[in-house]
Amino acid sequence: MDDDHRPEAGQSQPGSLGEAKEARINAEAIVRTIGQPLLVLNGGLIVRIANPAFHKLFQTTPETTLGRPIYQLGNAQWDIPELRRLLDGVLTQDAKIDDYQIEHRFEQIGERIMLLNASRVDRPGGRTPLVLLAISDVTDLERSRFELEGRKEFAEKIVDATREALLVLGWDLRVQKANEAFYRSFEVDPAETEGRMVYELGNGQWDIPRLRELLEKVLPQEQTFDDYEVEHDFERIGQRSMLLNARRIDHLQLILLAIRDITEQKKAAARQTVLMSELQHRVNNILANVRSISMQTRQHSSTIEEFTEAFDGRIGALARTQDLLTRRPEGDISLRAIAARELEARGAREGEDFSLSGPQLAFPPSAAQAIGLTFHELGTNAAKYGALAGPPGRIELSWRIDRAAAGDVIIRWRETGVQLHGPPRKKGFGSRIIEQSLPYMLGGSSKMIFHSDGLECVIQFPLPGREARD
Amino acid sequence: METSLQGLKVLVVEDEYLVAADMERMLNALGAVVVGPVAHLERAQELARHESIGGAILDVDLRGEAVYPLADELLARGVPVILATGLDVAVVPESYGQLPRLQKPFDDLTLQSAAERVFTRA
Repeated sequence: MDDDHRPEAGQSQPGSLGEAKEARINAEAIVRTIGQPLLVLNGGLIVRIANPAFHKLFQTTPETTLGRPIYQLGNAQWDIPELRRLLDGVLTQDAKIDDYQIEHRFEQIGERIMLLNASRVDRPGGRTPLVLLAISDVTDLERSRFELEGRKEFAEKIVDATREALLVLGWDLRVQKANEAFYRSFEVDPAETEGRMVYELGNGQWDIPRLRELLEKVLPQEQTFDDYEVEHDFERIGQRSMLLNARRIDHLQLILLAIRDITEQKKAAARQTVLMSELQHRVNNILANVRSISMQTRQHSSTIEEFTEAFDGRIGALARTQDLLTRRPEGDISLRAIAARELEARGAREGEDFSLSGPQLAFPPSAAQAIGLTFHELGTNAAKYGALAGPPGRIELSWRIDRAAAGDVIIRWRETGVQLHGPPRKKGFGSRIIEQSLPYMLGGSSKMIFHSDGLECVIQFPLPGREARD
Repeated sequence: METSLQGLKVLVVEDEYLVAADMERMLNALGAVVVGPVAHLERAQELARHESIGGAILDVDLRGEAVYPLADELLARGVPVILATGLDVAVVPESYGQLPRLQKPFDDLTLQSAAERVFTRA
């Protein structure tokens, strides 16, 4: 007992002081019963009362606590400079400590976060005041708040970092948050988005019956929906195909709506299908041509060697034109390129063995194929009997558009430096190709003139427009 | 070769020279008489009107022009028609889906069996 206690003991005498005594007993009962750790200190900051909640929290006993200065308690674990300053303020200036948070490592119970509340209780009769110190351990609360904030930040960062457009909606279907991807994809900004009903966004462009059904009927029952495809014409970004996924987050009364724009993906798939069917068509066409060439070549060949040489040469010509087509899959191919490749393929050199002259003219695939084959057959004949059989033979290949003949293309193949003795006795498949293939396909005519110094072949046809598909 | 197609006049409409030449060869070998071949619709229609034809093999797409008007004319006259196509089945309009069809490339035997089946039904 300290001297401060003694006058109080006098109050316990029977008589006029009985009421005060009863009040004190009541107060002590309250202090003991209350679940919050509580210390009552006297003016010298010596512990007068420590309630069971205090002992429980700090793992102390009344014996090691009562009658001792607070700063000496539990190996001086309360000797915290911050607390000294605060309690000094309470005693000398009647300051109030209100939810003051301290973080401190206590010997028994480790790192803790405490909220302190303290006030001075003045007593009559000039006795030194008491200090009431209430301690709340908010460590767990603080930790979970910290964790919660961490999770919130984590969730927000995920929403922001996701490349898929995301909307976070409240259960009232108002937008609480949208991510960067959403703003970018739909060309809107936060000011015209956040807090608005999803259906009002961007001039009502999200007021899509299918979306309404999903959000209002499906989601309340199913908790989620996945990969619902929605086609919609948006005011700013036009016709789009989207895949919608949604999750109901019941704890937070939120809806997470993920929107994936698959417009380009679908277009690419459609393009792919068209390309594949185009390719299939081309392959079939080439095979049909190869079959025809093989059957016709066989019919005009006397030996297997003759067949092989002619067939191989013709397949080579098809392959060269195909190669040019592959390099220009979308466009037409130029007459000059076809001619140069065909002549160079047999070792002829431009300028020395042949010359090419004419305006830039380009042809669609099937015409290009026929032109390539025609030049191939002319070249084969020239190599066997004509200008490419040896010096001083030369080929002058020229073409022009004949304005007088309704814009017909006129191709002229003229060999010189050759000694010819009239037309060949037998006409093979090669001659038929030269004379018939282009005129047959494009309309027009072809004529072969056998000059004494070499062959002249003139092919005339209207410039083809649209390409045949079959 | 003696076949049931002997002497039958067959109109061949095909815009690819090589394919047309080969069909002509096949039909000649079967004893048929080829009318054409022709690559253009208008020319084919003209030929068809001036010849008595026992059958027709029509390429469905002539440089972007559909052959179906000619097919209609021939079918109305009771001339059996075979469609030749390098395109996949889906491209042939539904109303012509029932017509016999040769998928390019086709060989001599395929053409022979189709021609015999379709052209000599009567």
